[in-house]
Amino acid sequence: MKHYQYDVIVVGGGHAGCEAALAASRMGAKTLLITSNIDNIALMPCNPSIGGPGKGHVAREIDALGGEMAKNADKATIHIRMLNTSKGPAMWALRAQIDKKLYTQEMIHTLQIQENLDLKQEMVTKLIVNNFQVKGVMVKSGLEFSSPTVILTPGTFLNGLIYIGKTIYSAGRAGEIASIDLAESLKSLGLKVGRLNTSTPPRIDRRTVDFSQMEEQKSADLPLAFSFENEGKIYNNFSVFMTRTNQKTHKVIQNNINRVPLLNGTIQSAAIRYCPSVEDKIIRFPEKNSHQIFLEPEGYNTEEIYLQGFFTSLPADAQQEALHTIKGLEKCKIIRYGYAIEYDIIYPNQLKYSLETKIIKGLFLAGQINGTSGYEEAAEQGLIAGINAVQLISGKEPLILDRSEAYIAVEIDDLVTKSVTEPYRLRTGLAEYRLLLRQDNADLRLTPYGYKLGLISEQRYQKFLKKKELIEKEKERLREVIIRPTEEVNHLLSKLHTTPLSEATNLATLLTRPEITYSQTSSIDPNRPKLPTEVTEQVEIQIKYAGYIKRQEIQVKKFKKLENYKIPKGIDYFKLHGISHEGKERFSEIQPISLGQAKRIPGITPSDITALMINIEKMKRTTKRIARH
Amino acid sequence: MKFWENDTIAAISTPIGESGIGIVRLSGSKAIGIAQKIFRDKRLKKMNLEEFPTHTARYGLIVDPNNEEIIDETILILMKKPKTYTREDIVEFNCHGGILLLRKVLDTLINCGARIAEPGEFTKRAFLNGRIDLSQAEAVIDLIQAKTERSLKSSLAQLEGNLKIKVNNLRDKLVEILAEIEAPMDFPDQDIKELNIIEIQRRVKKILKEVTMLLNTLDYGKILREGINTVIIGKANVGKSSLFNTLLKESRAIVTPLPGTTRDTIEELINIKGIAFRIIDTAGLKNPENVIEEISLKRMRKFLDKADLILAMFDVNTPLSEEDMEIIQEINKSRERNKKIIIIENKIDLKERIERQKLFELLNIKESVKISLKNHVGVEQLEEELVNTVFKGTIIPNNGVIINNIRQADALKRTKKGLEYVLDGIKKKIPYDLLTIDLKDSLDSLGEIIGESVNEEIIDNIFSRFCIGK
Repeated sequence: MKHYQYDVIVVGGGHAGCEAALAASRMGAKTLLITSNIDNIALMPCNPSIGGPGKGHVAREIDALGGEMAKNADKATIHIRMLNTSKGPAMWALRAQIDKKLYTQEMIHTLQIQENLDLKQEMVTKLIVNNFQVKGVMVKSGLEFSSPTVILTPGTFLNGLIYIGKTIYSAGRAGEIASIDLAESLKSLGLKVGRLNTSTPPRIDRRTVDFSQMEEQKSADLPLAFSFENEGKIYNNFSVFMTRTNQKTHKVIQNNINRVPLLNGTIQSAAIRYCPSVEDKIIRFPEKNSHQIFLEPEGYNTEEIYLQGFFTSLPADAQQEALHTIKGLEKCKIIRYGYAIEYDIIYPNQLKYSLETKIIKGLFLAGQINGTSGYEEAAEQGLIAGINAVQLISGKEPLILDRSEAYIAVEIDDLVTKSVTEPYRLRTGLAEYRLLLRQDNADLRLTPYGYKLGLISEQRYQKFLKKKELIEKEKERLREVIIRPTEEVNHLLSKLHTTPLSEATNLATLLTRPEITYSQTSSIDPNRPKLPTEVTEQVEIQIKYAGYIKRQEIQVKKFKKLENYKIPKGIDYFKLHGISHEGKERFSEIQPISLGQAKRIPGITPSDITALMINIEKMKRTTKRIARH
Repeated sequence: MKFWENDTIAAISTPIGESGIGIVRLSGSKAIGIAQKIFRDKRLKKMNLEEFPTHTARYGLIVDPNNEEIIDETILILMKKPKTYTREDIVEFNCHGGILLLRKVLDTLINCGARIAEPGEFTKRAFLNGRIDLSQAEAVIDLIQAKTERSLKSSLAQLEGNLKIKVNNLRDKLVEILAEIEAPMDFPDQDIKELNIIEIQRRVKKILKEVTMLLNTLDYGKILREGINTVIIGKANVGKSSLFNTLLKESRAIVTPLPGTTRDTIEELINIKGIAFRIIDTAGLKNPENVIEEISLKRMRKFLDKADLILAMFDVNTPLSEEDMEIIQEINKSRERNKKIIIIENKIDLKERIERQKLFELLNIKESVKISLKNHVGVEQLEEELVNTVFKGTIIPNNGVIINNIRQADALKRTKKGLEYVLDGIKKKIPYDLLTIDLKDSLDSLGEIIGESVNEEIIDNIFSRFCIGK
């Protein structure tokens, strides 16, 4: 039989798979992407949007590291907004409505024209592993593909089961074949398997909706884009509309609740708390008379509308009946019914920070298989797995970011340290150092890493350095611009509803007042240079929130102390003195790389940590002593 | 990598008492510099200690550098790192014993930039700097385990338990505010009502108030650590000295004898059920000519003044005397000043001649503790009453929640600062999400008090328990 040799094989063409394949091939590895259906590459089977708090941050981080999601989103955006603008800059988040078909097409083409990358439509049935080292994959047609690294990104396909009311059938997604052989292959390798579920709302026909009674959300009137490389654009062809459920809707749902598999006990797996099904919301919050539903367009050339907030696995007839009670949806026709899908995951605490499995060398897992939910969360893992597969075969250290550097790191640290009990969704509240992990500074935080890995071009890097330089120069200049309490100045200040000056100050200090923006002070700053918006935005944020940024930086310094306290590899925790039994088990399972990580493992007590530290100190000394003799 | 400060610490390192000699020890990067500030040769000339060879002794004088006043003669021993107990520079001052003198030396060192060492801190440094051997490290680990298994036996442990409940309660409230601020921001399309700023302000102010109140209990913690000033008063021959001696014998741990300031009073630090009492036995009011002197009254008032707790003794066997009446007056005055008082009737083994009803009316009390020191009756009850008074009464207020060490106080101060930043931020109308930075900081600081956060505090904690007399 003929063998095909690659450096990296990516199994699955979803958001994780695409990023993994692109990163690996761009870093020069001979890469193969195998997917069961090429037409469904980078499919968005749920919401037609990218971004939101936490998720939008990640999309921009992916961009700063040289990933594709942000760029591809910009190619397929039909509506975009900056959320939370009334909050501080850490909370601002981009969210774009995406033309799903266009998104898929653009990504397929990007993959097709990528050097070093082969695409193959096949069903992977088996992982080839020899002596705990991955060797390649076998596909349904019987061919074998060899590679020292395999990145699995099967999404919800592993033993996928779809539920619509009492109808249950095997599927990877609606209309696609589940991966049953691959699931078995993974179990046989000794990986611990869990089961989660998630649901998706119905899609309805735009022509059957009465928008006249709904609240309209227009696209932003400012030019916006996800990628740091793209100029912002204004979109005005599509709007999102909002309506609400009511008591009648809730009644219909309650009448059919015993027919819902998630709630009647048919599905035993854990569902996400953060985007609950509509039936779940009604049961858990009976005091709420109404829930919001957003009508989101699925694309340019389609009449399908996605019902954000109406996630359901009600039986088909009940879905229709419930929707007809809602204002504006009285006559709506469902094109696709909502459904729940239950699927296998591999508990992610079996992974290293690099996303390589601890037991099988060269095997990386990324995306929903690790228990996450969401396109952005998946894409980010794909990118990291792709990078680290190449690092592994080139004998280099893996890229491991820490929680103070990126949301990407927050997510991966949570996964590998805490594992999951429900689908994991990013949100800003998970980041301890949120003010430092803003969406606006993702490039400042991560571009150097992307450049070093070869994922950011020299040209883009030079542009980045220039931007950094301009920011610093302008900050410096603002600190030196003296503003005196002249009539003109105080007139401006009272116009801006802030107290007039009584003595001279510098412009930087003045800008820390919440009422004053950078652009409003141009009249009292005659020598101001003409600078790009991306520069002035940074200058403004960095000056305005300097006090808080400083405080977070102090917190980070403290955090890094424990993070930098590395734990030697290969410790036999059961031989250590003084650690509780549970502590020993947890430590052995996770094999923490630092005292900081050890501390975050669930079930670990402060005394376990202290005992661990003393043991490590002891080991270090013994080693030193041996080295001396 | 270092978790610990390498500032310079100082402590009296010999047992406190009337020993002939006492040692004050300094350790840390500035030990030599600080020592130099207070050390003079016998002609009061400054010396350059850096030039002294290591592990040598010098005779000289200790002065207060502010006014060059001589505090004591000393033998200074200089030990340069790394061959020292802590592997840091160490300077020891061998002084004349006597607690007051040693404290004065210590105070002077603190004023010159040293910090008071926590219990066990010299040992901790020895360990962290690699000085202590491995078996001792294991002993440390056992201690950690023992700590969690130890039941809440002593009253102090009970206080610690109360503190933990209180701190957890405050933490819960902070977490609640945080969650309510964050949820609507992370799920902007899910219709979650935002907490309004006035409500946040109200809740934070309330927590701040509780933190401040807790901080104010540091003084009470200090009382607990250093002993509750307990003064025994009563007429001559009522049995004051017997009571003093009985309490002394009862308490298994006699902490230390302290020198009385006059021949008329004796002080002892004793330990009853984990609480330290500094018991002061006063002389009676009458002079040898059996006359109450104004000078004796003044002296008694002076002791009552600094008392936290007063043990007033009456003789069951004799009617109320002139001396008793004076004492009753003083008791009533002290009560007005919120002193805690226990009325003791002694000699219940003898015939009752006291006008009890009158006594109770004059003192406005309903109960007393009746004992016979001669037959050892009622002593246990008295001890219980002593401890109860501490926790129920005015000595330790606040439902028995107090903070009793500097680290706890330090963490609370940081909590307080964080909350003040939050309120300041609200005033300045900064965006909600920025408030969470200081809220989280406060939350972390609170966590340090009860060991929820892993940081150097925990290591400090262990080493303060791992006290091997250094």
